[in-house]
This record gives sequence, structure tokens and C-alpha cells, in this order.
Amino acid sequence: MCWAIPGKVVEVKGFLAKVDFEGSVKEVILAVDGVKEGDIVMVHAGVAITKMSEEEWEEEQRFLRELLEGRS
Amino acid sequence: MLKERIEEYKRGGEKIEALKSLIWRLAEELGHIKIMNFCGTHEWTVVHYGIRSLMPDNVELIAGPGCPVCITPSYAIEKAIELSLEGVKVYTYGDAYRLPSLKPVKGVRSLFEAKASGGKVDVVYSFLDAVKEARNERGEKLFFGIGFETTAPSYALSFCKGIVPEDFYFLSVLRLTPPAADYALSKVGKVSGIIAPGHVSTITGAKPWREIARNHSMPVVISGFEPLDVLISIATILKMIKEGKSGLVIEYRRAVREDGNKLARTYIEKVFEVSDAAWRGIGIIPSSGLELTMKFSEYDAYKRFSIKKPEAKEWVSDLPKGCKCAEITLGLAKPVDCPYYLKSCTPDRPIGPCMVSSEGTCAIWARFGGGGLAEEIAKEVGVA
Ligand code: SF4
Repeated sequence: MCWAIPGKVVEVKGFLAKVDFEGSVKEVILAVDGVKEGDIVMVHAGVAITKMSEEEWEEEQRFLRELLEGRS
Repeated sequence: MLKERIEEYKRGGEKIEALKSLIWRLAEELGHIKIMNFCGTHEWTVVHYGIRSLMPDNVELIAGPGCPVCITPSYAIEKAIELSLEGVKVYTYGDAYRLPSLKPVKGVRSLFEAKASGGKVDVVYSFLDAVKEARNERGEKLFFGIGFETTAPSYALSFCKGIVPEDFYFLSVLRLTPPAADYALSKVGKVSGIIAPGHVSTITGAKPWREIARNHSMPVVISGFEPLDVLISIATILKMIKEGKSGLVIEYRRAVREDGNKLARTYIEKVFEVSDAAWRGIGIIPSSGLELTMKFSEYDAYKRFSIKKPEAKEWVSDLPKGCKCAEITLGLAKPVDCPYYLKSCTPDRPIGPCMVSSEGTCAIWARFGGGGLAEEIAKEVGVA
């Protein structure tokens, strides 16, 4: 029920956007600010609830490396 | 590209092995550790990938109140069935379609059965889809509004943007996770740490979970849903316990921001207000539900159809006799503790609510086998 899947934004129109999920494009409601074409968003029940970013992904990977290396 | 890199991460590879040995090392000198999850999808990952079979004997993973379908009170289901049989078109998510009520309404115990008996019921993927369909539907309509914080923005934005047609009533059974987590922790006794729900937290942010970590002096980790995410979260919790730390860590940084999604919360606050609310089998949990505010009362199904919510003083359990969903939801029992489990209660003929939703603990165990089978699956994906 709380599952969200990532998709790529192909078009933004006001509070709606077209998002591509591995080839199938769906219209979703945007519940995140500043979404633009090309962004990766997590969509739950037809609503984009959060945006993913390269920097945060990097940070997460760093966290994992540090955990495994016994630092942090 | 970000997406491809995440795909690769999902496969986990040798990192899973490394995390497993880290977990074993960390757990070595610790006593019995109980880690609770609060999201049906985490329980799904734990069971599907056989993560329990990777744990040392002293690390127990238990499922908490993480399935919105399972805790939807029976009175709401009964009312939706009744209205559908009276000609009101009822829209529901697929997850709640087969959800059994306690009392039958004209011999009918779910929206699925209601449809078979001539009731007007339609299954939709999203509220937006229901709104689109409802525009072409004459007469009164109702949305069976289940969900946690993750789902609330879809409703809130639709109401705020004025796209919901007249005569489309909203039966809010929206529930909030942190108050339920607090409640569960007060009932379960000793829990050593929490795996907090990732997608709920994209909305709430870290704050409510940080408060829980503080109030209960324990580590809380907001986790993603890949097996690797869950293992990282477990290792992080064990490491914190070992170092005598409590507090909040966000593991699922790729999706969850410290302050969550403020925009979504602003819309939620415009449309809904917090109220005490019933959780199926459990009772009334203070400040754990959302109901439409006065401004949107024209859409409120409770007002239109004079639906009465149960009050704490008159609460009686709304689970079928003998069903242990409440104990399972609170992490006090496992599906195998229920005498009906996979005997008279199966996914095809569910007796209780946690055998229905794909996120219900009984349904997940029934599908993937909470015990032995999990190890086979773990082998299959190369993690055991
Ligand atoms: S097996 Fe069925 S009856 Fe038993 S607790 Fe689960 S849902 Fe309830």
C-alpha cells in the first residue's frame, strides 16, 4: 500500500506531470516542488511524493561503505 | 545514470555477504535483540528474501502495524458495502477489495462480494483515476479512503486543486504511523530498535521518528526496501546498540529528506485534521487519524451518510473470533500462532484482514513461507 516506484519525468504541466515507468507513461499528481523534465521521482498511488537526486544517492553509498569498513 | 546504478545496487552482490557477517559480528556480545518494522513492504522484503534466516539466533525481526488495509476498522467496510448495495458507486484500491468485514451486510462481507451481489463497486489504481471516472458517473459516489501518510497527499492535492466532482464523498480511514508506533511500543514491551517506514517518511520527514527514538531511548533507522537497505538498517541498529547510542538515522537517503515533504504536508493540513481513530482489533489510538476539515465537509461521507465513529469507551474488537491479527499487528504473535493460519484461513478464503492485503503479515507468510521456505528463497537469490 505504501509502495512507491521510481519513474522519469517527461513533461510537467502545472500540478500534473507525465512520468515514464520503464516505457509506460502515466499522468501523475505532483506533490513535490521544483520538479522538471528528466528528474527521477518516486510515485505512489498516482502521486509523485519525492524526488531522488544523484548527491543523496552518493551520500547513501558513502554511508554503506563506512558501515562496512567499520568507520563513521 | 542514477536509475541504472540503483538497479545494480538492487542485485546486492557481495555486499550482502559482507553485511551478513557484520551483523553476526555486531550481535555476538549482545543479548536478545528485537527489531520491529512498521511497514508491510519491509515485512515483504524480510520474508521474500529470507532475511530472518540470515540473522543470528539472538536477533529477532518482528512485524508491527504497517499495513493500512489490515487496520481499517470493520465499521467502515460495512458502511461501504451497505452504500454500494444501495446504489452508491464505491471506488476502492484493489488491496481493500476482498477485505472481510466482521458483520455481514445483507449476507455480504466484502466489497468484492458486494459487487457479485449487484453492488456498485469499482477497483482503481489511484484516487486520480477514481476522480476521472467519477466525473462521468451519475449519482452519488464514494471513495474508500484508506492509507497512511504516503497516500494522504493524493487525496489532499485533489481536493485542494478542486478536481473532485460534486456528489463524490470521501470515507476517510486515513491513519498516521508514528502514533501507532508509539502505541505498539507501549504494548510490546522490550523492543531494541525500529526499522521505520521509508515511503511514509518521505512525507513526515525525520522529526516524528526522532521523537520516538528519544522517548523510547532506542535506535530508529528509516530504511529503504531493497534487501540491502534492510540489512544495512539492521546492522546500523546493532552497531548503535553496541555503542550504547539511541537516536535516528536515515538509511534511505536517496528518497527521504530530513524535513520530509513540506509541500505535501501543507496540503494535508489544509484538507485534513488529526483525530482519535479506530485501528481494527486494536482500538482507538489518540491522534492517529485524519478527517476532512469543515472547509471540505461537503465531501465528507461521515456527514453525508451520518456514519458514526466508534468511541473509546464503547470499543469492542472488530476481528472475527479467534483471529489474531491484532496481536500480529502489534508484534505480539506470528501468523503460525493462529490456529486458522493456512487451515481455514488462506489468501483465497481469508478470515481476517491480515490475510488479504499483499502487505498483511499473514498473507506475506502464506505466500512466501515465513519459516523454512524463506531459506530456500534466500539460497535462490544467493544470499544464504
Ligand atoms: S491466519 Fe487468518 S484468522 Fe489467523 S490471524 Fe491471520 S488473518 Fe487472522
